[in-house]
Amino acid sequence: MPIDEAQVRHVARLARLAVPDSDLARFAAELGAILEHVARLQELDVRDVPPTAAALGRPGVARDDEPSAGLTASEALAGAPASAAGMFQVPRVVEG
Amino acid sequence: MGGVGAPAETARRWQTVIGLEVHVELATRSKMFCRCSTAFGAPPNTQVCPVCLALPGSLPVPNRRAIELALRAALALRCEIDPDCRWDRKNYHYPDLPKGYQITQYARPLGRGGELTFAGAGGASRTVRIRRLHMEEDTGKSTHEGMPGGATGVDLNRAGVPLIEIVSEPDLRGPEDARLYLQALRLLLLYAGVSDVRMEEGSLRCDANVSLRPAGSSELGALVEIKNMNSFRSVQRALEYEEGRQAAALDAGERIARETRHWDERRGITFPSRSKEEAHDYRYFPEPDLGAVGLAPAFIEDTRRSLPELPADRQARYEALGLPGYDAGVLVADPALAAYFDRMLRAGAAAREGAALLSVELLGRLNAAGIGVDSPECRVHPEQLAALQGLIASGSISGKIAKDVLDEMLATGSDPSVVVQRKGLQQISDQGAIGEAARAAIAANPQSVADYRAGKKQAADFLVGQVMKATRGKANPGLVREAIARELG
Amino acid sequence: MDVAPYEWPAHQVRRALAAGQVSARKVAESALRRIDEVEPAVGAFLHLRAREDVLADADAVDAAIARGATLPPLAGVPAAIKANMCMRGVPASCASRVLEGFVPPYDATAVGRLRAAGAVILGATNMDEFAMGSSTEHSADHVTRNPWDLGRVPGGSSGGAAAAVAAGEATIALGSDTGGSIRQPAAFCGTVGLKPTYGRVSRYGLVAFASSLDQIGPLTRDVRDGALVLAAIAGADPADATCAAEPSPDYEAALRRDCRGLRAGLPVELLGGGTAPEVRSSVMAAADLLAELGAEVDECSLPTVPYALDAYYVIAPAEASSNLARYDGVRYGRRAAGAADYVEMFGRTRGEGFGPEVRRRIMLGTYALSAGYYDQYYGRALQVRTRICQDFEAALARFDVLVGPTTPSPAFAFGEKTADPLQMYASDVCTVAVNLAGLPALSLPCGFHNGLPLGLQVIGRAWDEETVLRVAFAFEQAADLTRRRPPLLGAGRMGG
Repeated sequence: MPIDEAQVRHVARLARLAVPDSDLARFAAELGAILEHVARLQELDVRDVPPTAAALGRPGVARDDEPSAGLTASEALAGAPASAAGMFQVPRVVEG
Repeated sequence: MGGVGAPAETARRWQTVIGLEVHVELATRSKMFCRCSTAFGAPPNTQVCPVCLALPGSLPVPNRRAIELALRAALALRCEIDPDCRWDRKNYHYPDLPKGYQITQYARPLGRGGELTFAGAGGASRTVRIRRLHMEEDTGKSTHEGMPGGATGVDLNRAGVPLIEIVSEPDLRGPEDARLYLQALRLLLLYAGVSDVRMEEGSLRCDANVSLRPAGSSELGALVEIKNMNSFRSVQRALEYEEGRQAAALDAGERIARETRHWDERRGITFPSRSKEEAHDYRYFPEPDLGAVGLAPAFIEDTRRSLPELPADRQARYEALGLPGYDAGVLVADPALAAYFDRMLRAGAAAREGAALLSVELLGRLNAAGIGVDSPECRVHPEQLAALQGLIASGSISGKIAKDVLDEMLATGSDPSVVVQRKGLQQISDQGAIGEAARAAIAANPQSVADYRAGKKQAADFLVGQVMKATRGKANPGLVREAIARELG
Repeated sequence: MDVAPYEWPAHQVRRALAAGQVSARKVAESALRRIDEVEPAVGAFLHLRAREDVLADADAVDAAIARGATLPPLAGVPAAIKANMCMRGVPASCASRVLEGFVPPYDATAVGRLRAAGAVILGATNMDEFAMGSSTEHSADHVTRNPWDLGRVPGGSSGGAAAAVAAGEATIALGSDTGGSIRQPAAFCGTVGLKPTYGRVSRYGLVAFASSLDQIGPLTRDVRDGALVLAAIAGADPADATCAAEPSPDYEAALRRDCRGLRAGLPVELLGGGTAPEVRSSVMAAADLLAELGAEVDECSLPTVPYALDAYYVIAPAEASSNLARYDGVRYGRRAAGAADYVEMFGRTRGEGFGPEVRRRIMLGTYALSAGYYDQYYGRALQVRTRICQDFEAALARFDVLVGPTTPSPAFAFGEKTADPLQMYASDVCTVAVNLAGLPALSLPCGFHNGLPLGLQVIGRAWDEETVLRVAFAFEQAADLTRRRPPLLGAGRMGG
């Protein structure tokens, strides 16, 4: 199996996805099957082949440094699950 | 006296190795990837749009000016420029990081392999190598102020503000050098017009990597990262504390843990981060929403040519004009002052004397009044100050009178010649008039003449003083001295 | 006019409006009536705009006609938009619980252009959650049924858009295609579906799945409508740095009834072992028809394409894992209640808000990018992508277009592939390579099997949608299949 439950737990933490312990085995099996399939990529000889992150990339696109008005604070906060004092409110972040 | 001896001994045993990671906000009007304003101090979440709020479907478009400013910084630091540099995503989750990733440059930064030479501790010339310089976007700000029930509030006005990160090689060997490097870097970026580099507004931020190693060793010790240093002084203080802490631990046979520590300005200590840090895994990968930055060779050359004279070159130019290194440094350290001085030079002022008139006389008065040299309230223009210096040099007025003239110039904004004329302050250099005054003084003070003749040569000074008094200070003191000596035979 | 306006293609609506034979209001009413009739059975929409808003838009078109204004190209054409494109004031849920309550404060560029072209927007269509799926079964809301057989899936992820067009609910629709999400449902529902060249249509306002692969395109009744819609939405956009600068040509003018002077390649890899016999024979017949129309048809090879699915299922999840990081319950959408700190809040918001397929792909993509695995998975997949691009480049140097099946089989039954993700992924085997190479490709009906439509895929060179449309149009005119309507269309059949 290319991925075990401990790795699934680690990846879930990196992705900030709460995965119940009872689901770890199923995830490991499903991800394992997909990873086994894509392992076929190793069959190809790609020495000296450069990577393609975007097929038709456009270099050098940029815009002028002209500010323009965006949203108002109330528009920005309109969809927020919680807000106060003009800010998005989240449960306490422990700093430091 | 062991308290003094121990650090010295420790210093011989351990060598401090410091590298700095400096974040600098670029002086653009709009954000890195959207058109929201970058103005400082606006009410929370009033400078936001779909892009910097990371609304679904929004896309980044780079700010050309930000790229140009970053390029200026890289060129000023003598970096090798990568014309095909690219954007990457740095993935991590935090409430003030709206997209859940930061757009930055990882695999292909804008600049590599630069250097900065500066005057280090004790004035010795130091060169620090720049490992890399790359562009990225700022995050928002989290705060607890005014939030109910200990909740955290997130303000995204700063999210997406353009930054460069300048990573030095671990070439610094002490806390004072670190501070001096940082100040030199600040000045360079200020000259290059890259940033307003205001540490108090957070437009220049610094993290440090510190390690100690046995003197003579070339391997690096365990790296400790220090964060939250908010002024040049606190950088030096934090590093001094950390140097001492690590040395004491090593002396006691302990091992230094690789960790991140925060500087507590009030208590004057560093302490380990409390947040349980899982090993960071930022999963960098190429930003698919943006093509390569694509710097045309002509653009790079034009930018290089458009760079103004940088601090080191200006320092060298002033020294070549005869200014002592320290005096030149005072002028160079303040771009407005140096610009003022350059205008004085263009108006024909003599370098040394002009510099003294500027940094002692004018600056002294302006500082006392709390006025900047580039402020409209400073009513003496560089050309006028140069003219004042010219009047002194030609002997039209004495250095002493010049001070009164300067006061009047500051008060009225008048040209020095106008002040001199209006107040009748023209120096008396007429041989006949001075000779007459000398003879009058001699006639009125027979006792002094007798003293002089009896060998009390300082009696002549009294007579010179009498002439100056009689002419209300306007007589040329050299000529008066000569006339008295001549008349006394 | 024998048939009701809801059955007309867009170019017919335009003609009728110009001739004063019908009003935009009548066309809209016809579409709304059709929706009332069949939507309970089909379930194409996630959100329908208020009837009076739709009619007000139609009235505005009529008022413009009355003023004598020049008719814009899609004037009065009822349109549906996949629920992953932002429309000001219309929920864009992406069929996900995590975006519950999210109402965009802005229009996607393509949506804005469609409006500007006169289209009357009906609502947002169902899809697989965040466009991840090939059957629309991964919608958090409801399933959409294939109008040709209500026991079968419409394909996905733009299943709602394809079903709406096929069922006569919308005349045209916008879908998005990351690995086949326009073409595959078009094939399953017997419509025309066009994925333009990557960068031809702005992605601004399209909720990202895999940014280097995503592209918006039309789902239409026929090829001419595809050309019309593409012309309306294509072209440079200062808000999308990956959108091409060059102006888009007049696609309608490219349509011709023959294929003389064109060379069409038949890649053997697209007709591999997994291809259903009926699909193979229908594609071979289509190739013969193209030859009759004057094309030079020959077999060719894309040797790396059999690995495209593997590269795709590394690259797309990797980008998705990052694109979907923003759904954290801070600024919009759903938030899990009662979390003690933000770490728990993020984890539970995302764990509860995303469905199983999205969670699976986020995990897969996170893993493929993580320390120690990047080179083995993501890095490797990017190198294979280079080889796939090179394969296409070589083939398209010899041929003007490549033709093959859109899907290895016709529409499958509900539940047939949901148990095994790999089986579901295999539905994209003929389409993903095109996205990896960024090329334009179109699917149009090329036959029927047991009453289910089959799709022919026409792949072109980058930026050459014109030749793709020309070949498709010539084939469509000769084969005369696009006028066939699903049995659902029988008047009143679904009425009760």
